Amino acid sequence: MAEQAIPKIDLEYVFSVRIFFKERVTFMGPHGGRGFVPPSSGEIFGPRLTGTVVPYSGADYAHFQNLANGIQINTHYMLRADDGAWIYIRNIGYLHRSKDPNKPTYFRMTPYFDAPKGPHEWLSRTVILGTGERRTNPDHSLFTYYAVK
Amino acid sequence: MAEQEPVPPIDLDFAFQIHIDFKERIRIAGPMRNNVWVPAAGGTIKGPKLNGKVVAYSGADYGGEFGLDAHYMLQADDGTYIYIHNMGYLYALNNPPGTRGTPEAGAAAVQEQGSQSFEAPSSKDVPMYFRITPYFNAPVGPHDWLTRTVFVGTGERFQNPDYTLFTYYEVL
Repeated sequence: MAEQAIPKIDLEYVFSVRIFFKERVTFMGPHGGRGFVPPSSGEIFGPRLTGTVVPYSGADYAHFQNLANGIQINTHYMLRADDGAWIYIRNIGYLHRSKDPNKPTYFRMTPYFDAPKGPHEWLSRTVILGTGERRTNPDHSLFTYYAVK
Repeated sequence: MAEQEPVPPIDLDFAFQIHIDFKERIRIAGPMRNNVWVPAAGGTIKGPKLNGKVVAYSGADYGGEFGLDAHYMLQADDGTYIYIHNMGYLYALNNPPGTRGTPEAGAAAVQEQGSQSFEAPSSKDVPMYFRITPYFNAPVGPHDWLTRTVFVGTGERFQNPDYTLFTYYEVL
């Protein structure tokens, strides 16, 4: 391999999504564990997108072997932008239990979107990184998304 | 609306680079969508967190206009086999996003035959770049951190010989 400088990656904060949950279902199947955690509501805020999470438009259908070791997230939802546009989001990544018991469970993930042609279609051709934190009272998670420039 | 709070930062750490050599590039123009078949003819992995090789003809990019969808096997220097699934987008600055190779190349032939070999320009000929997110599965052991880590990658394409250099960062 030719010796050359390692290309840098620039990230740009694009928006945050706060999702509230009521139901949390898990079961063990013959191939491992499966979760079902639907969003009961949610809001999107930030410089590049504002809107809502469509309640019960999907769920996290997570995979796991042992819940204590974290899970592989596998979510499908619909979002609704403030201009009324419907946007599909598929999120994959990992949920990790923090080694510090005083710190919350956290997420690292890569969402893929599909948005109609128009002002939101950049979502359908942009690689985005997400972090997230699970919070309680009420049960919700706050996700922070960065576009890879 | 949400209360104001600082946006949490994301930290990245350079993990490794994967150089993949290509020979075949086949495009399939189907009635519903187009796909490519671009198998890895070989390759090398170098960097602070993983060294090894790409197993020749262990898989391919099967993506289309929507982006990359590549499945390969890697083999670490200690012999461990590691599965990699790459997703993401290829951007060509003078073509619509996601365009593969040269869109005008033999379009009529593609319609007649349904599939055709195509040449992919280099990043120097046509300004283009990849942004990708790989997911791995490694056996329990020294490489299993790959199976619980999110990465982001960039890529640059070269010609003569035909190869792409992917650079991966771990999301800390």
